[in-house]
Amino acid sequence: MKFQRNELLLQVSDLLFRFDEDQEPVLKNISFEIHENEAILVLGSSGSGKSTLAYCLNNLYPSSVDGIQSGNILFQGRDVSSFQPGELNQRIGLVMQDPDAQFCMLTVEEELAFVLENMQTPRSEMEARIHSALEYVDMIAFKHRMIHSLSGGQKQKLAIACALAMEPEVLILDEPTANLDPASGLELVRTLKELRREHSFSILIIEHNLDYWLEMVERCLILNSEGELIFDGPTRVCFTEHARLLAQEGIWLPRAVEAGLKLLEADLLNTSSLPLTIEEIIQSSCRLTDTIKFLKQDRISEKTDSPVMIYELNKISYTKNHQALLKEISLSVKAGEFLAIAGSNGSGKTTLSRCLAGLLPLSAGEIKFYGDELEQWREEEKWARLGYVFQNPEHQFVADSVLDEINYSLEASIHGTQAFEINDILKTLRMTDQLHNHPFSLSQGQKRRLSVAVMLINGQKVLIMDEPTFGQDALTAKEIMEFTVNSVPESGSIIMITHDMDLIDRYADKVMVLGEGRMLFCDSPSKLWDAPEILAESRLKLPFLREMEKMAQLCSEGLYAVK
Amino acid sequence: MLLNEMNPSIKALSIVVGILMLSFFFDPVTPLLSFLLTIAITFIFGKVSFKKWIFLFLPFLFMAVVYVWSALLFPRVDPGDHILWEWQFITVTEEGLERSISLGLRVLSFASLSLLFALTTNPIHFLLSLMQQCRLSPKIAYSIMAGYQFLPLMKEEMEIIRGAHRVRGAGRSHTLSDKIKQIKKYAIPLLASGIRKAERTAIAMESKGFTGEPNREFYKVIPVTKKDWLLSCMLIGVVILSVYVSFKLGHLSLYRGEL
Repeated sequence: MKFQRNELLLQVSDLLFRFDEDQEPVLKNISFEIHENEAILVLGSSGSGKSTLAYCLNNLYPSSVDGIQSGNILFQGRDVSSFQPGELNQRIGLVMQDPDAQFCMLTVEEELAFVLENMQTPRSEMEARIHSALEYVDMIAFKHRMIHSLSGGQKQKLAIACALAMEPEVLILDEPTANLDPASGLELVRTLKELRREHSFSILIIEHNLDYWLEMVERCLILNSEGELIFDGPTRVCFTEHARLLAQEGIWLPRAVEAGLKLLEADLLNTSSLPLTIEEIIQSSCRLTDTIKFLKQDRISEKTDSPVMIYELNKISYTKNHQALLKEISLSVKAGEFLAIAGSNGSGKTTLSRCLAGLLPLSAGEIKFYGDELEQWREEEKWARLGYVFQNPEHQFVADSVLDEINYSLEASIHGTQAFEINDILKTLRMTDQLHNHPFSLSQGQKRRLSVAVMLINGQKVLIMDEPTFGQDALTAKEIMEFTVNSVPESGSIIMITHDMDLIDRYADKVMVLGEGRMLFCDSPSKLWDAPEILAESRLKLPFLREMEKMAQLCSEGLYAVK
Repeated sequence: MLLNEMNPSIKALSIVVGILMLSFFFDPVTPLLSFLLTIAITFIFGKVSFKKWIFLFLPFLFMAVVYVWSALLFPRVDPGDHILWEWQFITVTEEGLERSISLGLRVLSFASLSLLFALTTNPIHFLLSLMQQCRLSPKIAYSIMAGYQFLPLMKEEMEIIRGAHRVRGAGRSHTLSDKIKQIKKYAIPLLASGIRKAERTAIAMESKGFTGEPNREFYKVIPVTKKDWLLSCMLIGVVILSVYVSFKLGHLSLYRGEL
């Protein structure tokens, strides 16, 4: 299959794209081909023009933004701009990144009908096709739901169902798993694989979570931060030979490759080529126990027990529009603890975190914050101890420049603020040259760092974060985590919502799992990894290291034959 | 039940015709009768929550009362008018009283007809029907739908921003100028994300193959049946009946620019 070149579908040559005459090009020197029934992964750091490329292939750019494009894009030998309006969009399906801005109708059924209507599908077939499109993504139960009431993951699935309903020849997915819980992500990959076996279409994936896709894709394209195509070749070559380059660009690596890089440096592997999968690490390790021990070093060691209770939750519930979103949750957080909140899409994680910050009123139960009831706290005093970082950092900016933003927080505090020198803060933020820029004009990573910093500037001890690493590239994610962990004092606590099991494994002292508003589990992460039934129920999966340990164990017991 | 299922375009047409007809007459009895009959029809033939109806009706009632008051307090007194009551600068004449009550009832009858439409019509169905029966361009109709779909998102986002600013300790506005600044601070992130969302939604619509082509195949057909015309006759009949009864009672008078 791999060597048999199928018919040429898309041909891109010397593509150059810029938004404005006097701006640097977003994309340049891009030439590649997509053949029938190929699966291609596009890699690149944040802002490298991956999404722009997707829009160009679909001929949505340059027409809809008045951009300037040169070079050719041919679909089946015809220039993409020569197609009838709408025709190309149907043959090249696109799922966009932002699940909130993909829809124009109110209900799930209407949205799918909108897609079919655009294609002039005969009315008699529509019902059946809506049904089958929903079946692909396992969303039949949601057919009559209002779209705005769905969770981010569910919206993403709907967007994919919409693209599949068009039965495209090429499907472009822009970060399709960013909003999905681990199991849903895995399911999506399986679904697509299944669909490709039945219908055969090409697929171009722009993605951060590479592990999902490795078994499916054959080819990779790498874009560097200047928007140039620097690699086009087989997946294995891409990761085994260019891993260091990718790491420098801040691009996420498959976790086995990342581990392999470290192992190779520590001289713990008996080959010189990088492993792509866990099996390959096990196979090429000189001594498995050493390998695992080495990789575990990264873990942040557990902190000592402190008697200070930061949070005590006693059977709290939250109900909105007669729908119980949280049901009788009891929990305590001690000083020094890093609590992770995990759970499937729509399980109430964000709601819980808002309740913890006192932003939502409880329906029942009580929350004690430093021993006193949370509601009794005066706002100013509460916010002097507690910070909350929202998913979108832009929501939290209130001033017109970085400097004002920091000053604002300093002024807001009731205690003297002289403990911190602005210069120190900026140095830790690494933003000394951005002082007078508008917060909205910063890069993704800078926005995040600033939003964390302004939360901690007055010596707040407790920080609640809602998916801080969501949608970030590898460098940025690492920066955010390190910045946060270093900035929160030892006597404080971090409470973080995340889908990333590796983060939990690495940082968390305690993990709480939510499922449909109930607490399914609350203990140390290592106990969670030993509870497969809870992992399955809450749609989580094992972190990389645990998976490897498990496999290594099976291996040594001779239960698992390594080829 | 019937009104909720009625073809929205025909419903709108009937109501516009009804309102136009009512505006030709200016006496208290015609609007009073059609007001009462419209309410009866709303609750007999439509599935409408009374609470919601009252809630939306109250502003109109307030408006009507204000009209009546102002017409009473500052009347036009023509020579030969019958004075009912006089006290210092206030002169209430029979003609003036009739005029102001006519005006108030007129507001109420228009309001009841509009509410009948608003509370029994699904906005999406109305747009679909406008496309199917009135040849409204899909480009316009679907843009309105996309905008409509933004409203709950905007509300949600507003709540998030309010919470986010509370966390920053930004609720400290006491003076008026502080409050104005506060609005600006809410507005900028809302506008920024609004513009970005609108742009993306436009691209998303295009990527779903939407071209604005007027000949669409519709999943949901909004049909026109005999029942729709019957209901239409009923709605217009209400006005005709009111006019007829008012005529029989000898009250009917045409609007001659009294105000």
